[in-house]
Amino acid sequence: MSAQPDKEAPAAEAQGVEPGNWMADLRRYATKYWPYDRLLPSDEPVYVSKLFYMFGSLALMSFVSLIITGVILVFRGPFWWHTSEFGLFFNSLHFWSVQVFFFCIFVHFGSSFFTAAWRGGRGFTWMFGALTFFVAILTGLTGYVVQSNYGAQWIGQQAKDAMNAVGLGKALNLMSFDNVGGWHFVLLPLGVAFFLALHLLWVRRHGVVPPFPAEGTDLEGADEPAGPSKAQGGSSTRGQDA
Amino acid sequence: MSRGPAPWKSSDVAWRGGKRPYDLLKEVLISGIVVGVLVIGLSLLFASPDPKAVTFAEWSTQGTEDFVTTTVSEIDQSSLSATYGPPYQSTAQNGSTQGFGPLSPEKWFGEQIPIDTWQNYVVFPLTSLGEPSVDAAIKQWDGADAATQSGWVTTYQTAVTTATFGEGTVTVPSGDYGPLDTLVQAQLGMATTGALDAALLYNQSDSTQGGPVWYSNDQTFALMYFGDSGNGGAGADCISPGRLASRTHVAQVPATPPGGGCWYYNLSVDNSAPRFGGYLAGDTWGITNEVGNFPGPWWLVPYTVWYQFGPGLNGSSADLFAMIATALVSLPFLFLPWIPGLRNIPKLTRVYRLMWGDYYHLVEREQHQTPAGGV
Repeated sequence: MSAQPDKEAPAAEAQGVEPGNWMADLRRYATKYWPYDRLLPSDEPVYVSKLFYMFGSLALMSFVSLIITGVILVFRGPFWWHTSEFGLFFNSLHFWSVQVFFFCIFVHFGSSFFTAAWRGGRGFTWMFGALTFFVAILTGLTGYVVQSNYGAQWIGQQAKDAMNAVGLGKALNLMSFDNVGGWHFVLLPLGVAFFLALHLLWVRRHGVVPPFPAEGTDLEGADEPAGPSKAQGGSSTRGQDA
Repeated sequence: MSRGPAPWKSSDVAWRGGKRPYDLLKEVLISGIVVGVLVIGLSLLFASPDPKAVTFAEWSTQGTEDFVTTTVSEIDQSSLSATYGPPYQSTAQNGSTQGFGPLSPEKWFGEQIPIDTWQNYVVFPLTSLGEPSVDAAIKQWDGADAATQSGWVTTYQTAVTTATFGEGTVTVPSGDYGPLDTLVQAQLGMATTGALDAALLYNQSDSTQGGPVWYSNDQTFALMYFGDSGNGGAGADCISPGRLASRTHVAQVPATPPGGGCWYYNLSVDNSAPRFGGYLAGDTWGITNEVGNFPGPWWLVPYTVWYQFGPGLNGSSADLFAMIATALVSLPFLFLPWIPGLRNIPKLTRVYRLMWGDYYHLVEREQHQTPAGGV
């Protein structure tokens, strides 16, 4: 996954940019893989017409809903969502956003799996998606603890054994609102956002995976993620692989 | 659609065939509206579970016998949290440290959150009373040797079996219990008034401030104390596995009468109040469930499944087993695109033919019309 700055160094010098300038390297890398027409496309391949493609953006918007409702809940505090109907309503919005978020993620995973969406050098797109899911699971778990109700008591007291078993009993103490709050309100959402951003960037970088070649066609297909040598560069700006 | 040589390969990084106008921003907007309508609708229809947190005041009045016997085990440091081992003590007194041979992260990290149940759960709260008789009882207990303490405990535990319990009261026949009855009565008194809840929420581990840290929101001591209820869920009054076979989802009557011996655990497994409508014990998929009829964190099934059989169900290192198994399964999931065989499963299942049905019909129709052509 390199921008191959050495090969591009002469071009950089020709542009008056000092080789080894990290910012210039970053700019070249970004403009190579995320030109505007790829980053902000106004068209998509003809096969992108099915409803299952929507579940990625539905998961994304569920995450946005989680952030908005979560920020409001954090600022008002447990007393608010335990004692007022409006607070409980926002707690409910957060609760159901989580359910919708994971439902959409599972459908998205299912469609990505059965379409082998990692083909064509899209392995990292899959991996960033999986990492988003893993961090989201931890976020969800800690969310159940910061509910600060009976469910939180039970889950914190029971799940602490798993954390202890792997040596994380103090780093992630599920029986301490002080500790879990830091994870759930700050670190883990940032982690989800980070991997989600990478996932989206890689989706835009490679585009939506094409269908498997139809049987009987002369379309040559490869089942494996392609390395740079397999890419057909040249005429298409999208014909680049990483 | 052009003719001639194959214009694309499935290994291409992006499609070079036909395209159609597509507004991604509108898709995101529509998704936002769909999510918004769904979430607001579900919230208005069903709200969300918010069962009130249980308290020591409730425990001591609704499960007085359980509270008393548990407190005795905190005093003589025989409870689950007193003998747990890492991260609460340097070594486990009950042999519960998890590990497979040399693989034992619990041991590697050692004591990280020190818990001394006598000091943290009993002495600290009781000294806040400023009661001379209680202070004297603490001093008497501290001054006794282990054999004497053990004798008091044995005698007291026997007496408790014939004691008279009320809701938050216990009357033990007179006997040689040393300071035990004074300590237990004082602890019970603090609990029933709610003072114990407050006392245990102070962070007692920091002595640099010369006392409790007022700004603290650490429930470790309190929840570990709760967890010792009913001998850590193993007591005779604890509802046994298999309970679900004879029970409906929500039981409307208390599982055990006031004074029963497994209050905290039975709350979760027997739904002793209507608001606790779920079954949350580990052998019934634990935290994957939710109280009431609400959906729980079902996405934790890939983790909780490991508690349903084998070492995860009966092993002494069940949690470590479940964590390792989950991690081992997660790795091929994470690196699926690079694992030969696994990555070919989608092609073998041919589910993609259904998912892209329209596209394949189009290709086949064109192929039929132009046998030599491409897409």
